Amino acid sequence: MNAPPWESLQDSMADALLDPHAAMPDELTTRSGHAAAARFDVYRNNVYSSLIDALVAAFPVCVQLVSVESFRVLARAYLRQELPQCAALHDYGAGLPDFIHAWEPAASLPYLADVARLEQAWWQCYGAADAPTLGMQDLVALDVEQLLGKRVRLHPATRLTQSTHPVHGIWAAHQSGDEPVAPGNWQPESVLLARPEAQVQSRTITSAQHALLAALENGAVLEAAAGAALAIDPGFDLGATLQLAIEVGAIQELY
Amino acid sequence: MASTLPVAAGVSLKPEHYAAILETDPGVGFLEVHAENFFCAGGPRHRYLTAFRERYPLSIHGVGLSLGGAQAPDALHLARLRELLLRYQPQAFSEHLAWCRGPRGYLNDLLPLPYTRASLALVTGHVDQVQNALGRRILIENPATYLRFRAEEMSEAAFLTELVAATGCGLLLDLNNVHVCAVNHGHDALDYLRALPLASVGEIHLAGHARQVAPDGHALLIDSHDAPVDAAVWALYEHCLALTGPLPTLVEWDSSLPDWEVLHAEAGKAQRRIDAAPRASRGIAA
Repeated sequence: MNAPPWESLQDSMADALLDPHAAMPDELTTRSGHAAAARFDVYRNNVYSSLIDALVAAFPVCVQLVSVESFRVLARAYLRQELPQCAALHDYGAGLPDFIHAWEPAASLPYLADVARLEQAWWQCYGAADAPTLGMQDLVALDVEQLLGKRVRLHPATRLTQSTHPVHGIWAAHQSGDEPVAPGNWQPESVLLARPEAQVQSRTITSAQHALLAALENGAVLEAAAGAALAIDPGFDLGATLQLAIEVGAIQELY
Repeated sequence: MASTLPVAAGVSLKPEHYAAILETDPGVGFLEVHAENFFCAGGPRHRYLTAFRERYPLSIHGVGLSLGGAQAPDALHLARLRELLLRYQPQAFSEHLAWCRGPRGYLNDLLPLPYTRASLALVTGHVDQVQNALGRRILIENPATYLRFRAEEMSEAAFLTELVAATGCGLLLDLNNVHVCAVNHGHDALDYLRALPLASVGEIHLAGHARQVAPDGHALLIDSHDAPVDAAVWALYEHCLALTGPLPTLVEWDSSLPDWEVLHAEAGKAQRRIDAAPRASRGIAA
């Protein structure tokens, strides 16, 4: 029997590593010829446990919400569907929020997918490019007319998420290591994440504030972005929102 | 171009030890990080690595290039590596004789390849490609393996010897892996060492392993990097230094991390053996 070319053998090894019920490819062996399957399981276990560990590290609040045992079951199911596409594992798990959303065993925790989305956004914020930030003094030189005609470049680390659940309250309650307390006010929350320096900053924002920042992120001039926010909340305060965004370091520059 | 690593003992750099190293400024020869942990654009990871790079020589160790795979190295991965090496100018860059990328994505383990003429030609092409893209000589690490291939046409040492001759790459000699493979496959670790082009070794790795007894009654050693260096590996290290003379040596510890003092003491044990090694041997043994 001719050995298969390396590429097809490699593919069948990869498939067999991911499928716990698959047989080890016959081309692999040991000195004694025995116990090869048990050794193949060492590799299989390394693949599963290292990828599950990576997800456990990336979604620490989700782990607390469902227990580490349940999260590992979830992560195992997810990785069989989606492997990392990049060897940098801090990018792994982009599809986990959608996977959780569709995963039947998590149906009793409808906020879990949005918490996962916030945790993902947190890591993106953490590892994004560094850049300078806008200061309040940069605004005072402009009159209102000029300001409303400007576009706003958000800082590269700035991330926005939106949920029909109090995701920021849930997330924040699991940061201290103490026994978490459920948010007292169970209402939709949007979240602004920024990292002007080393520390990720997070703030709960209103849906009108979210609409402003999302429009700015998409390149709208300030007047049009404010219009989108006012359509949601007629009492929307543009000045206060810009001040909040500048104070957390979410804005790089006006242009 | 970057110089070589100092002939001294270094340690794996882990976030759990950042504060202790920055506060105590310990005398370690160099630090080693996994390249892929720094593929992000910015943020605290790079702030820390910049601070450490100002204080210590640096080795960047890749775990994801999949040089032993049938497919050519991923272009985006290679571009990120190139950027990382330009940014930090490390004294060494190393990768593994292994593969980790399957048709559906990364498997995140260092998987074995068959030692055949055909795979040697493939890996030679990959190493050439990487050295050209990075503009530097790289070190290739001997893997820890649990299985072998029926189709094997040459020993691992012969494979590495030919790879070094064909590409001009250096070797990262992982002595824990040498010991793990010798036990797992039933060959002699010193014979393996003597069959390598030892003059091409640019760095040594030492690490801990775990022991299992397999269903066939043979011991199976797992390259777990979660324990102190085993006595058998220290003995192999002394034999190796007698053949090679002193070499830059890393104590690797990747999981179940100990307190910094424990890791630092482990590096001290390597440093004492470096200091005691005969200086004139380097090159003669090869």
